[in-house]
Amino acid sequence: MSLIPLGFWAASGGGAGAAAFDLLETQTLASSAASVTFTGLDSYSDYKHLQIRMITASNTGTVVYSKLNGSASGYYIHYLTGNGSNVSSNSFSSTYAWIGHADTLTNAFGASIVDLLDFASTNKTTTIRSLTGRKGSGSNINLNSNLWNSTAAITSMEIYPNSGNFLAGSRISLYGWK
Amino acid sequence: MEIMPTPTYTLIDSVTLASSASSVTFSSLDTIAAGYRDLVLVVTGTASTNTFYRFRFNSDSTNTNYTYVQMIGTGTDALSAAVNDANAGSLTTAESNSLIQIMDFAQTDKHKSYLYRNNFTSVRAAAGRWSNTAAITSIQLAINTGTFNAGSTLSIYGIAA
Repeated sequence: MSLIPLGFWAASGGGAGAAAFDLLETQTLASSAASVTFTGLDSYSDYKHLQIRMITASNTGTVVYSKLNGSASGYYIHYLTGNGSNVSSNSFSSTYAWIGHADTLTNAFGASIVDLLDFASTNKTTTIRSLTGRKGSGSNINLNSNLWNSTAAITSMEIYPNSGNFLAGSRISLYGWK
Repeated sequence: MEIMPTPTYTLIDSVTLASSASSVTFSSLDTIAAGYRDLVLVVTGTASTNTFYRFRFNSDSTNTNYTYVQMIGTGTDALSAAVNDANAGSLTTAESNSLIQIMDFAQTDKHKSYLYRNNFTSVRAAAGRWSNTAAITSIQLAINTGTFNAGSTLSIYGIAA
């Protein structure tokens, strides 16, 4: 069975014409790297929301953090997590946002889908939410919600593992949502 | 690397069952999904009995080649389990749905990772991995017991990167 490809927005009945979900940038690592940074996000202000889709491996890191606009303050994290044995929840203030997972098992990668809501707004604080997990060197499935307690528009996003480097083959893509 | 914005999240194929079926297969993904990096499967419908369905990537029916971790809210309890199985979601005789994200499905430098959220008589989130570096060229969703009922819809979307 084959179909004529349709934009997701049109396919979901949101109206004809303009696409709603655009690929903006992608970084696929050819060699290991301590971090990946997207800059100049203010140039995407015609989008309402941003989405990061990433698949990440690390030599030692198991979770993935982010800093917005280079800031190391004002983050508040809530998470719901399952580790294969039980489900738990916690919240804490932080110097980073917790957005994803990485895996250290050979050929295994953590997967994360991260939404930055209303990222260009200057009249509301920023929410970053994610569905993320890994099933390799560890077992984790998370729903995370991060507040960055700033009304600044997001102009850059640094993404990095909690220790070590991202390994070659890790891929982080940025999308805009109108 | 900055590129020109590219519209994506494109419907590749969709099946609404005219009659009950024990499985649905999307094949020739190397052709019809060429150029996409991630796949999104959306499953909505009912089954002949309360059951679950499994992935069969490239016809691999060895359940222990797949592994996943899940957390489930039943309405009274929150549970987590890690299982070596190909579970892709549950389906009941009442309307259920699942949204499955398969990352880097055609890349041969990694095992295939997937995430899904599934609503049935409970709510579930899961992360899983197929321990194989082969590009996925076909995906079958196979019911464990019973059938997908007629009217159930299974759609597959592609996301470029």
